[in-house]
Amino acid sequence: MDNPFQKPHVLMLRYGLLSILAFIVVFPLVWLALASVRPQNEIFQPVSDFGWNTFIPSRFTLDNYRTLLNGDFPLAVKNSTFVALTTVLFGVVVNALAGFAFAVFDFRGKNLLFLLVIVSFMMPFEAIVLPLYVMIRAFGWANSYQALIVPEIANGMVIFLFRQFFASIPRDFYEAARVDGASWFYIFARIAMPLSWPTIATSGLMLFLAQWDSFFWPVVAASDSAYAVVQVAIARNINFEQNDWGGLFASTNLAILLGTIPFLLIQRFYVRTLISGGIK
Amino acid sequence: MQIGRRQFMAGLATTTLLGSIGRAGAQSTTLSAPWMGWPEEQVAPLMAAFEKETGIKVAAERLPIAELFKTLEVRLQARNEIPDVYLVDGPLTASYAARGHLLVLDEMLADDLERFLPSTLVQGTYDEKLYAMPLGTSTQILFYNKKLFAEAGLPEPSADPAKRMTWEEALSIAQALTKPEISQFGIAFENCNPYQLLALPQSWGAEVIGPDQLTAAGYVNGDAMVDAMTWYQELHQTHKVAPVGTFQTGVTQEMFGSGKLAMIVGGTWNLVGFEKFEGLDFGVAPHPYFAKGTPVTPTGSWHIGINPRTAHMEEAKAFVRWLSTRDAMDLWFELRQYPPSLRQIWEERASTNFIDPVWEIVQHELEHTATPRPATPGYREYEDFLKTAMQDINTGADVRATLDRAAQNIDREMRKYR
Repeated sequence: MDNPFQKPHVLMLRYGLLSILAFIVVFPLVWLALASVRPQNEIFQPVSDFGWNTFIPSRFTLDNYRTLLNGDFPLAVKNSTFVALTTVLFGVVVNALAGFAFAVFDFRGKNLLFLLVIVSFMMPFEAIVLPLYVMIRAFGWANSYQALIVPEIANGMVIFLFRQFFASIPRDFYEAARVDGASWFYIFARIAMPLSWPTIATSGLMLFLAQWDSFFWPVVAASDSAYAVVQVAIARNINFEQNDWGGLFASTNLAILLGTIPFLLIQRFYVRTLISGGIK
Repeated sequence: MQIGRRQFMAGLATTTLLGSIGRAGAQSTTLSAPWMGWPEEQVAPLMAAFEKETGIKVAAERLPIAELFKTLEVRLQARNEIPDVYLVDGPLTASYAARGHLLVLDEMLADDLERFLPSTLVQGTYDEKLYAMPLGTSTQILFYNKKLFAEAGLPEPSADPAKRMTWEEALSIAQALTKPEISQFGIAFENCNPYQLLALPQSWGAEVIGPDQLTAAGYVNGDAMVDAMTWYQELHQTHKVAPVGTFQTGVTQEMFGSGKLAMIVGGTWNLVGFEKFEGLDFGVAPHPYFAKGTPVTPTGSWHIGINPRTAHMEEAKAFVRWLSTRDAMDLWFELRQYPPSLRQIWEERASTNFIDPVWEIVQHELEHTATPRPATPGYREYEDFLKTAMQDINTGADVRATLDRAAQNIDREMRKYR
């Protein structure tokens, strides 16, 4: 018990500080959650009179949620879920294949191509939105699921992650399999991919969240209300001249909760990749 | 493994093929119309009425204001047939027209222009041609909370434009109504946009842009501008009668609605916006002015324009022509109460809607004090930099340095329009 961290007052100080930090991080979220179950006209009152009222609604109501469920929001959730899951499905396969190629094969222009991959995720989206839009229009894809999904499938960051992982697998594995007559695709599908679950989980999550949070591109490329995604539906509660705070808070809450589900499902894998990434 | 030229070409061909298949499938018969993100029930009936009359569908895409402007930039700069028609913010007319994104409407509306209030046509006009038809206009008035005035034993401000309050008077009233212990503020501007705040320097006597409509230096950071904006800053930082950092209409509206704000300078849309606050009893008075200057009120609103590259030119023209009719404008006023741009609506409603003192004030302001924002092709850039500067001034930044920087940035961006 020589560990100085075990002394009671040090412990107290440590947990005290951590509690304060936790409060600062959690409080706005709690307030958001509570605001969504308040009657509309009460949302802002307790902000200025800070006290118990700030935490406890005088009347608990699900009106805001009820209104949401009767409006466009369920459609937006359906759209976002479809778009995000499809992107994950295709994204993992395509990016893993690309990462595998970069890690295993040697071909002319490989370094230049890889540099382009890196540049692609450093590039701010606003810089490419115009040419991308022109291209999507030329394909006749404006206002379609393709417009929302296809540009997001290839993701430089995910290719990079896969490349790093596949490069860490000893080349002997691959060569042994080649000697036994396995095709490269067989090696990819049966040897490399099964080893890379943590990377698949991480990249899947990244792709999912990128789509779940995407806002500007859906607004530009598919603003038809039939293709509205979650973030666009949330933003519809705000306009220049009046805001529907209840709807805004309720929809934000739902978006956060639903967006957390995939993370909770594959949390274990996610943490493991971060750790293994740290050792290398 | 080597990726050969043949494989590469095969991939390229497949991509192209897929693209052209997608293209063949896309055929649209409706007008695409980026629209403001007003609530559905204020947008859909207008489009439905047009469809009923002509059979042409209008797909109004309701977008939040910032995204509406960004989306229009992307789509218009792509220079293709989308959108067919779009909402144009009055002061952006010059910006779109100068870049060839708007069809000249003069010929189409030649016999109709007499029907509009002349001040509403000004903002849709660039280079002496009408590019965007006004769907309405706007003005700003002073709303006050009657209960808070009664509690403080203060007389209510007069609704008569001839007895308009000065800003100096407004400040002393605001001081009497500010109660920091219960977080109650005396006065606030609805938001922090140049649309609303330019009336301050203009009332002080400032010119807010050079005569060529392209010069900011000496105007945006001119002495009168600096003085007026210093006064604005003192309202928040020295006298502390106005809340700091409330840049959005939604927030100030809530403060006024919940009785935490005694006076708010805001647009007529608040008449609808305040309806949701039960028990809020408010009065209206004309926009204050500086004793040393003249009364000035913000104005301008939404217009409609046609993309000259539209593939549905006849339908787009039909839509704009229909919107200019009495029936469409009347319906639009029912849906959203912007001061109408057609004289006829004013006359028809003179004895019903417009007996309210609000509308008497609005009518007076539109005729006498309404001052449009600068008609510069660079208004987008002008507004962006000035808005940020105004927010910084609100939260306590050095006024002159902030405006100097804004002027410098605006001038740099304006170079491309010279």
